[in-house]
Amino acid sequence: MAMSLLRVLAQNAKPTISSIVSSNLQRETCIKCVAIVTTPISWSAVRYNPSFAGKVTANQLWDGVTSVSNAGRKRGRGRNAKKRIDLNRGQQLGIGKSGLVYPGLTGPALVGKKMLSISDQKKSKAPSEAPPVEKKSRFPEIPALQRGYSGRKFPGTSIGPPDPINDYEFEGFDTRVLEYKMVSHMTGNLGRKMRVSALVVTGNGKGLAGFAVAKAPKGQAALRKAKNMAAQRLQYFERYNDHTVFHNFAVKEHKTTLFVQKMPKGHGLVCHRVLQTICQIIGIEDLHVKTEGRTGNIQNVTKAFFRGLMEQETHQELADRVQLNVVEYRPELEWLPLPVANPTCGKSRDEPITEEDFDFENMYYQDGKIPLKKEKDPMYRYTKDPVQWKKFLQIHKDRNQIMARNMRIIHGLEPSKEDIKLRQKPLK
Amino acid sequence: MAASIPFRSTSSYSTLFTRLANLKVRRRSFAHTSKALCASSEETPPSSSNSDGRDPFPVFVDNKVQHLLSNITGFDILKIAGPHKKHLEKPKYRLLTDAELKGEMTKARERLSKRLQIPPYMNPRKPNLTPLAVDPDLAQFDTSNYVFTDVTFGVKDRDRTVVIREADGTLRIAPWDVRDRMNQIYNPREGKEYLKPQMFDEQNLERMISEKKYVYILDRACCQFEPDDPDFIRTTHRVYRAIDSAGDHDDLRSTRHFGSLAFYLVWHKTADSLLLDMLNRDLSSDAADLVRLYGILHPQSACAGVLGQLSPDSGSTAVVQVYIDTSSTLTSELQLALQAMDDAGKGHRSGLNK
Repeated sequence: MAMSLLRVLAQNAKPTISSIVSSNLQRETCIKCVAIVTTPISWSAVRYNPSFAGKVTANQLWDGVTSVSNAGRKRGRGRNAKKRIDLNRGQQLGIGKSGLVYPGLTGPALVGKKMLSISDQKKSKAPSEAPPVEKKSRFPEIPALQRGYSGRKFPGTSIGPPDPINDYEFEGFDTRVLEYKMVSHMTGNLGRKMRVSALVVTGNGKGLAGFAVAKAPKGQAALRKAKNMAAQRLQYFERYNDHTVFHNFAVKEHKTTLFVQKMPKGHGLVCHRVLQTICQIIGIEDLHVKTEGRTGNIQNVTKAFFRGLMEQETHQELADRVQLNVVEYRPELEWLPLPVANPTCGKSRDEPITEEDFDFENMYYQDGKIPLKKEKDPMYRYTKDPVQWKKFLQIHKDRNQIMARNMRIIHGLEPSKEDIKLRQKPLK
Repeated sequence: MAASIPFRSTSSYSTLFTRLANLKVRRRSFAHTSKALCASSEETPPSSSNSDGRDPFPVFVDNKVQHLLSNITGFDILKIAGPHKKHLEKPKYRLLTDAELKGEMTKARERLSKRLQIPPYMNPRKPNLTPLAVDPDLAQFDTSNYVFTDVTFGVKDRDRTVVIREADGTLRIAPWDVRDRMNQIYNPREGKEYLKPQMFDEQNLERMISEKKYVYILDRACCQFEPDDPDFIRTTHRVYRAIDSAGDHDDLRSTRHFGSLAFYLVWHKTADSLLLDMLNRDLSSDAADLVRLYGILHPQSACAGVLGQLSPDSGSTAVVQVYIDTSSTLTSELQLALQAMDDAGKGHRSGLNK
């Protein structure tokens, strides 16, 4: 094929590219031949270079990214425009990461008459003054225990003790944000005017606590204002044995109702997250609260809980009111009768109280209404669903096997793995 | 009678059963043996640990001794009730008049005083190896032994008849370990395990003693063993010795084990550090009771002789002084402690919670 082409070329005194292309030959072969044959022809290939590199300066490039037109600036653009970064910061021309010295390029080529070869430069050279640029994380990580209820939001987070008043330092106090929201009102001049409203609770974990709501145009200002206001509204709550409330009670604030139950030591806080935070600040460790109605209204939940705690009757007050000894029976102490309060006058009244008159569990619910407690069927989960019931039967069959196996292992009666394999083989 | 043998559908089953268990013929001998079982602790030779070779059990059950032991145990009602691990439950509240409260407290004290029953102090039991009957016709009847257990309702574990027909045709009273296992099978007790817990192995026991879990070990031993079980005696005595050497006598006060501890120490004439502990805690009446106990347990000793001559209304200091003069090994320390107690003028106060 190549030979035939050469013949064609020899016949034409002035061969052109178009004539070559028009011959039905494979293009690749064709161009190779051209390179060989058309040397005397003056022909330069003009190629379009699409890259901007080398055409514009760094400054021009940065301008394109960072600058905003005047008209745009008036409209508020460019507020979040990027800033210029010195990409060469911490670098020196001619010195790379590996620290190699290229003789004649980055160092002298000759020492005396001896030619140097490529060598390692000592790294003991003075380190670059400016460290290389590190990209800053936009959201620095918050330790898990310092986070609030959700994400990077304020509610649930601690904002430290209140500011000291004159010489008085609030030692041992802590403040937690319960609610943090934007509120607005309309003005004739400015239109919708936004402010931040913050509800915080402050206390020392020993029964002293207060809460306050404050508003300010800036969030930090609102928090500070609320914190210091809460510090001036402290109330003291008596706690039973420093761990729980004195009795069950229900309390209602508008459409928010709380059913608070006294719990034994070790139970923990089982309640609305806001109430958990308040309990931690007051110093209550064991509690169960059922919240009903508008539980998202944090201000009402807080108000109701504080009012409920304040209106409690201590055991001593109860003993004085009924003129009888208040006696506690605890299961872990073998139901031993332990008097927790005696009448202050020194002796009780003579006639005893009947059991019907006194039901400590439901004594403090108002209007004779007591919360409905439904009996829970422990088998409910299994009996309703045939699949679950089948699963239950399987579990039920093997329910003691784990413990039995553990006992066998302890006493060395469990067969070895080899033994088990042997047993599993069919009998012959 | 029920037998732990598999059911056989042979016509001669009942005859065979009767013959294996030998019921009718040997009924009398059973009665005799079960009595012998109960009395075995009295008949068995005393343990080698005591030099004068007496059986401690009759002395222990003596009313005077029991009274003294319960006196020195103490009665701290909160410690007896003690916080126990339980499922969380709400406390209950009642409003009581003074009279009602007093009644409730008395009832609770009565209820809890049952917790302080002192476990018997006995010598280890001996195996009974004499065969009840030998029936050569039954030899090689089966390759296994047959155990027959009396499961009549109301029979106590210690009185239960358990016999064993061996493969060679011998009928004998079942060994102790078999009896214990049969009792646990037919009359299971809460807290007792079918196999001996590894806690009571020498190595594990030492570890628990070093952790000072005295009351736990002793409680568990009471649950698991009979009081004349050699394991029970070994375990408890080891714990008593550890407590005495560590001076942790107070850990057992107001528990059922304090009486046993005191009895063990006095029986082995090593109660000096316990006495010192009592004097240091100003428990003078307890100290006097301990010395009186010494007099009863060792009637031949010089201390008992002098105590007998002492007038019955003499003070506790005098009683303790007799012991220090006659039988003590820590004379100087005891003398000092007694003097200090007298000087402080607290000599008349009795136990902490009496």
